[in-house]
Amino acid sequence: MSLWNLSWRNVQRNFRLYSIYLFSMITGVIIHFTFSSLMFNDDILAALENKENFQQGVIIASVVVFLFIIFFILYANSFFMKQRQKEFGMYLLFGMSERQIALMVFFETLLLSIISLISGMLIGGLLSKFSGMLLMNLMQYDNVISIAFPAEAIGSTILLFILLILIISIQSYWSIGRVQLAELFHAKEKVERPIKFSPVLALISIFLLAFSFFLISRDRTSDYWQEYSTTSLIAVTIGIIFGTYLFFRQFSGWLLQTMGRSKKFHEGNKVLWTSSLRFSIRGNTLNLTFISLFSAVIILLVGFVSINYAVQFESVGRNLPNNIAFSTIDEQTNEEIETTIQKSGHSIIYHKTLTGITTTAISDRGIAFENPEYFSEDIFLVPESQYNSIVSLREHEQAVELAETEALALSQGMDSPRTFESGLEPEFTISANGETSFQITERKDYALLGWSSDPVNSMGIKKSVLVISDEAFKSLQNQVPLSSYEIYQVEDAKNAEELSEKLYEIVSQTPEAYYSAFADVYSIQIESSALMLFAASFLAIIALFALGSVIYFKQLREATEEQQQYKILRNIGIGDNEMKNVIRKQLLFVFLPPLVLGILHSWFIMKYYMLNSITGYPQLTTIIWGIMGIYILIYFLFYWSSTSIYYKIVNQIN
Amino acid sequence: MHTVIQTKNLSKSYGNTPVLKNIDLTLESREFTAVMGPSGSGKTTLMNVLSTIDTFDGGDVQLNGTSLLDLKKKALRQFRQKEMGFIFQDYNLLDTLTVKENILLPLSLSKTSAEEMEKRLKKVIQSLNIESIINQYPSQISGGQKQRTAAARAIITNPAIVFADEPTGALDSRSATQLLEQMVSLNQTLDTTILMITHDPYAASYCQRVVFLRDGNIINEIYKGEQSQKEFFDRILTIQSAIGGDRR
Repeated sequence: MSLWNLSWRNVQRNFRLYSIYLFSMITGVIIHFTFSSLMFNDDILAALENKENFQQGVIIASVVVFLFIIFFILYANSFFMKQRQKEFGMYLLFGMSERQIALMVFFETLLLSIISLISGMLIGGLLSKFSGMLLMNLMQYDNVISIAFPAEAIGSTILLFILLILIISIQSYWSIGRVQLAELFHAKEKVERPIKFSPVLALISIFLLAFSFFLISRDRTSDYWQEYSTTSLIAVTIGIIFGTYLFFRQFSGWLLQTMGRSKKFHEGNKVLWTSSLRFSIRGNTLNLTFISLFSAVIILLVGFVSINYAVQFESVGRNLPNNIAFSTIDEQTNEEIETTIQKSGHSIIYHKTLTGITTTAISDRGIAFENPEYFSEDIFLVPESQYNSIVSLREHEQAVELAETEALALSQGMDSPRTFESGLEPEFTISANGETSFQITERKDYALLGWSSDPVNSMGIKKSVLVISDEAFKSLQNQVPLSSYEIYQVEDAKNAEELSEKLYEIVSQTPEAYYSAFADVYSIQIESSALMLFAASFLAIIALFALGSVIYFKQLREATEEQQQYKILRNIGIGDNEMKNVIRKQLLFVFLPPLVLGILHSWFIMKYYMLNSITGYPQLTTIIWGIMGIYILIYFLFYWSSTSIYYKIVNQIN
Repeated sequence: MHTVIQTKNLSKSYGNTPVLKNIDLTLESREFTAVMGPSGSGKTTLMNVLSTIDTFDGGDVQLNGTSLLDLKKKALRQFRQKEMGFIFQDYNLLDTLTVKENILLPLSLSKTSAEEMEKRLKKVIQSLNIESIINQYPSQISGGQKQRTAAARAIITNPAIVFADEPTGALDSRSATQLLEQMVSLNQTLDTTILMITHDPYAASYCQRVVFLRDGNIINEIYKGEQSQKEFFDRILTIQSAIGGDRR
């Protein structure tokens, strides 16, 4: 019998053991192939605004996917290598050399890789239409994507898998070299002693977690996050990591210990499902800590990109509220622009000229505008009546009423909008007709003139706008020159990129002129955030697989070790249902805490860092719960399949 | 009759704990010897050292006149492949291969001709009475059948010596008796030299010679000679209880 033959037999007969491995490899290939085929798909490239950005994003995502695949497969392989130590020992005993065994394992890996490469690429290619449409849909394009197997994608996938096979082979060879022949004979059995748990450390773990959650939930404007933000950040990080670690190391053990002391301990099957847990705490600690923290990161990542995506549609509108806006230059230019718009097919919904005073600040601009570096140096003063008329055209309920020297600062994109009580208004001085001072009654998260933009570089800076009372404006307007802006709202502004290019060419002939167009930013923002969402979702899937495999293989190993115990249980008359019940409870104790902690960690961070700072999007909470729901569902599938395979393993009759 | 294994002043320790202390033991060809002793007496270590899968610290071991000290890793491997057979308590059959493939595996790996393989297979499966199961997988046969398969695999290469580590440990008494009788018959008809480790006086009573080990020393050695099996069994029991027996 040749080595090749032996490998083939092993793959055939061990198919059930290999099936999860194969399944994951195929998933890996599908995802990798999907990414690289999207990158080279002509239909998609034709639809995109920013191709370089797209390809870079996809490359980064596929590298991360590949790292996860490597992690997962090395983990799985090390599990199989340990499972097969005895088998390798037998080969060594029969005179096979380590190199021959490694070659045999290499053949097996090669077989599995070829199977998964071919089927993965086939499935990935067939699904490319679907995944391409999904991406286009997210990006709000309705181009038709055809099924594609780009040669570059096939090449790069094969290349990466050759690398993977190499890495696996090195690992296998290394682990075969460590086979101890003496283990074939019944050497000393390993007995793990149960560790003692301290109630103090158990309480500390709860305290650390509670303290971190407390800090996170404090308001951003509180001293914790204003005065001592670095300290708080370090405290939260340490609290979460060590709290989680101690939770698994001490709290869960202490819980079992306390359960063991209770009077009702011997009722029912508690003794059965807790007994082996007590011995596995030490071995589980790092795994479970890793899983909790890692699942928190996955949920956070997906949560963040989904929020980012969901917010994008409206936030471009908030950042650039005018479809087209620019500094008024002269009559002739205005006419030229008006005819250009009319010819473009984007019919005008309204056109408004905004007249105000351009001036400079004497006070620190930071008094009126949060993060002043994002706002223009010059200040545009606009009377309340003009502001209100634009607001009503936009159908926003943001109208204001100002008296005398009261002023409203439009500081769009700020984290903490605030209204000042009368008497406490900060004073803001500008240079117009000497020095004129205003009282800022409110810093408002709203824009009249949005980010300046251009078709190439997308966003520039925001216009600093102060809304002042009509009377104040009247008293100033005769003493200083006026300046104005043209504001257009057009149909189908999302797709007005071509129009914007033409208009920008006209306006930019005048240096320093303000120009802002919704279309410049919209497509690029939606494209990149859709790509982020798309890539992150696939990443999350592959990461979940890696994560699931950590628990899954750990349980398989434990099941193999506990075959003897379960055989004894069977012999003393414990029935199938009771056994299943015991296994379910035992595994629930392992699976549930990392899920709960992972969700708690990510919920606290998302709730207080993301949701609370984004106002006006009620659907976000639903999105977050949706993500968590999906996560719980997939996690539950891992739990369910682990219990069923655990049951199968411990009931194998030897 | 020639000497298969001879040890001189053989000693080994794990860290500071001596496990084997100056063992002098000679095994002749065609001998069926049992090594007995309580847990921790060093019997498993002795077998690991004699079968070259573990190293020793002091003294010497000679196999068919060759000192193990003179052999390199590769030579040791070939030596094991050609000259030794193994029977384990938990069989160690490969689940992915049929009974026939398991038995022939050592020959397959040493590239023996198919014709020769068939010839040898026929002989061993007849003497071990497993002809009917050779196309089944290990998961489909009983413990006794598995152990006979393992025995067949151990002797198919015509080794100079077969090491058996508690071969009856996992078997019921009927299968155990059957296996022991077959080992005796292998020993007599095929002239196989067997070294068996056991803690079971009943299993030991099938051997021609029993060596007693305690705390790494050989403390007694008895031969069956002309005694009946019952008489030999009683003697083993007497000595075993005198040295503290086995409390496993």
